[in-house]
Amino acid sequence: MSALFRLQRILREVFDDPSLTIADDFSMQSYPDWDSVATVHIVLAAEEEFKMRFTTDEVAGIRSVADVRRAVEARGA
Amino acid sequence: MTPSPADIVRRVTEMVTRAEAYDGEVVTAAQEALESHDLIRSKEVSAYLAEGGPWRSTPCGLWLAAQILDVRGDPAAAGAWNAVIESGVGPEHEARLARARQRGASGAVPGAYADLREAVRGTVDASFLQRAARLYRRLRRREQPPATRRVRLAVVASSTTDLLVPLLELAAFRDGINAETYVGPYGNVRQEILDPASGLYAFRPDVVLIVVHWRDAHLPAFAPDADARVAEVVDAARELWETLLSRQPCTIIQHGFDLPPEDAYGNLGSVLGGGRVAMLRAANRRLVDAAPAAVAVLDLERLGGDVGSSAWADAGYWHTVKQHPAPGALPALVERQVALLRAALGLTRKVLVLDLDNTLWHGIIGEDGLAGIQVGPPTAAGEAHAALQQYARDLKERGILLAVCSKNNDADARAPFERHDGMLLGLEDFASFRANWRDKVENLRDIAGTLNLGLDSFVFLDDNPVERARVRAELPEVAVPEVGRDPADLVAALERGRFFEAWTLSPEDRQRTESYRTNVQREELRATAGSLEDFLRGLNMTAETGPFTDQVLARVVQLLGKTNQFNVTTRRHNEQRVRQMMASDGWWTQYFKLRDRFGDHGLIGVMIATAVGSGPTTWQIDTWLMSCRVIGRQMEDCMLDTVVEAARAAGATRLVGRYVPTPKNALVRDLYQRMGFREVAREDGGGIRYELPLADVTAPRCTCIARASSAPAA
Repeated sequence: MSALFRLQRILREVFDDPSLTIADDFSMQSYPDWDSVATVHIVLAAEEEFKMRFTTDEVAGIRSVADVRRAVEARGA
Repeated sequence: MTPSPADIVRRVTEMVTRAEAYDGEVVTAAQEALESHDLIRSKEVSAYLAEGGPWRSTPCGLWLAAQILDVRGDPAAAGAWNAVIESGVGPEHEARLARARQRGASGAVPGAYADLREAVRGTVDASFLQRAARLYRRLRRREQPPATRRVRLAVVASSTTDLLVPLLELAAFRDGINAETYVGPYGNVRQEILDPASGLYAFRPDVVLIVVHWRDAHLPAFAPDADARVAEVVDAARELWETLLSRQPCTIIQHGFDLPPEDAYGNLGSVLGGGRVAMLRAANRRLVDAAPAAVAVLDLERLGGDVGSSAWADAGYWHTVKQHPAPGALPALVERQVALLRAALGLTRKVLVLDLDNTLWHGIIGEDGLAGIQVGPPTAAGEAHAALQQYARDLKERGILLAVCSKNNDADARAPFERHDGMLLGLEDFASFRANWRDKVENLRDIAGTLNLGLDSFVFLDDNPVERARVRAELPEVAVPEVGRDPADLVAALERGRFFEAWTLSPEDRQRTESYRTNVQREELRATAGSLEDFLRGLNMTAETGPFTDQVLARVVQLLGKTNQFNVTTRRHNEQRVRQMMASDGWWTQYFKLRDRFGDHGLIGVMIATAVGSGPTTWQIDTWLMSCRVIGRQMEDCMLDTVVEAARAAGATRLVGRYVPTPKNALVRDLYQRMGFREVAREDGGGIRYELPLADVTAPRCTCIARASSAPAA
């Protein structure tokens, strides 16, 4: 299963939109509902889903799906 | 060559039909295959989704169909989730949450709430609960949740509350409490409480939760003047409580301090008095000592230990988003907070109903006989059941009533209590004992009737999953903890629900079982006495009455907080408010204790009245409540006589009262009428006003209770 698809499931749930389709450029800028609280929810759910921990730098740098995916894939997911 | 849509759908169908059992990985992989080829809305998929289609006949296919319909936003998703839940395959809580979301989206909000409540019952998984909590917030924006109680809950916190408060609202909802929350600005605990113009006061909370942790004590790793430092910490907390309580009648749940997981002083940090851990522990002790009755201190030191220090704190989450404790520890914290919230609202459970075979002992008494069952040493199972008996006995000692509800012959069921050496509980420990072959639902209703308590104050512990399911279905207000097969887990299963968390412990609590048991003896007297009057006279009852004093205050506040049935106005005055009344000439307060030849009931009645209008001619009854234990004893007559005398002595000519209906106080709907009052007005919302000209009262109503006023306080 691809990391992007798993992230899509997480974001669908966080944003309560079962039809949401995401790509790397899906970001805080392009999607106004994505605020800092949503980031915490995404981080929490991704840590659970991928069984990993984000570093403080990674969390602070999250602005888009690409940022999350990079951190996840750095652990071999 | 790219596979055709038909090929892909065929492959997906093979995947989901090959797996005989539910497998989440398979379902997800199948969904991904369809989504990555953009086939979700294709006609090929539509053909397979239909009811009776090939997917619907297998566990994985059922789930896939429901999930795909959700992604399509298709209203048929409702039917697909129904099929999943009815089939019982896969994780039920996930299916319930999905159906709750689907129902919410289609406007069926009450159904969504019902699913959500089922989904979160007994679930402790942190990320699942976060998802459920987000859905709860979305539903709540559309429609108020079903609830037996509403509460205005303010949270002031030194850490982020974005993850905490939604979980708290969700747990309250699960327990029938509609919590409307106010969250102070991050880090502004002192400011919110000290500033009279803060949002906290504008919100007018019933309950304030003060969320702090060890960093807020501002203690160094080591201090030579430890005692003074600790005193400063405790004084600061006390100042906040006093300020808050003087401005807003409320109850306060105060976090005690947890312990930091790291300590440069190592073991010395806790064994030297000046170490930070030692100081935090001392501060926790003194916080509890300093707390007035309106404040409960939540023991985070113990909770941190229960969770484990490495799971409790997470430095990363603190440094990045100021989240403390770790997100994974929040469900355990929230359970403790909500248990105290229930206690503050008088929703603490009062009765533990126990099954016998394989619950109180190992084996089946009717088949294995006295020599065949195991309880106590030497077997491990026997010891585990004895541990449950010890726990139940401890509960009874602190005022929780025990009852037995067992499918057995009565004589068989009683034999172990009378003759087995390993038993820790005796027949005298139970307020009610039902061993027969009737339906347990009927027996539970009977027990509730005998004890004069609502089923919503019951916890039912039974090893048999069929009985548990039946009671849950028929009597949803009864708490039924889920228990596994191992008797060693019985105590933990019972403890997990924190059903019996109490705000305070009064002397009456400890005597309660005795009081209910002596009621049984009184019933026997009733059966032999001729008329009701003869019976009541035969009890030799004496009531002690007097104005509220410091000695009775805790019990009075407890009764104000929890009495639901015999309570005409259900005004939940807190300690602060009651103290104001005690200090004021404008209020008449009276407590009532009752004893009879079989025993002492303790403090069972509270009345508060005040003169209204100009001059003392009209007295209004603000509060009139009584414990249900003493219903049918003329106690209400005795209370009325007392207030009539006091009103007359003060020069009043008229007594007015008000009945405010609640879901629970139908018992006193016609109280004023029975007592000779006449109706004067009906209010919007169902309230009724009554009055009684004192000239109409020619003789005391109560003929069977002697009254003794308390000696004035020395």
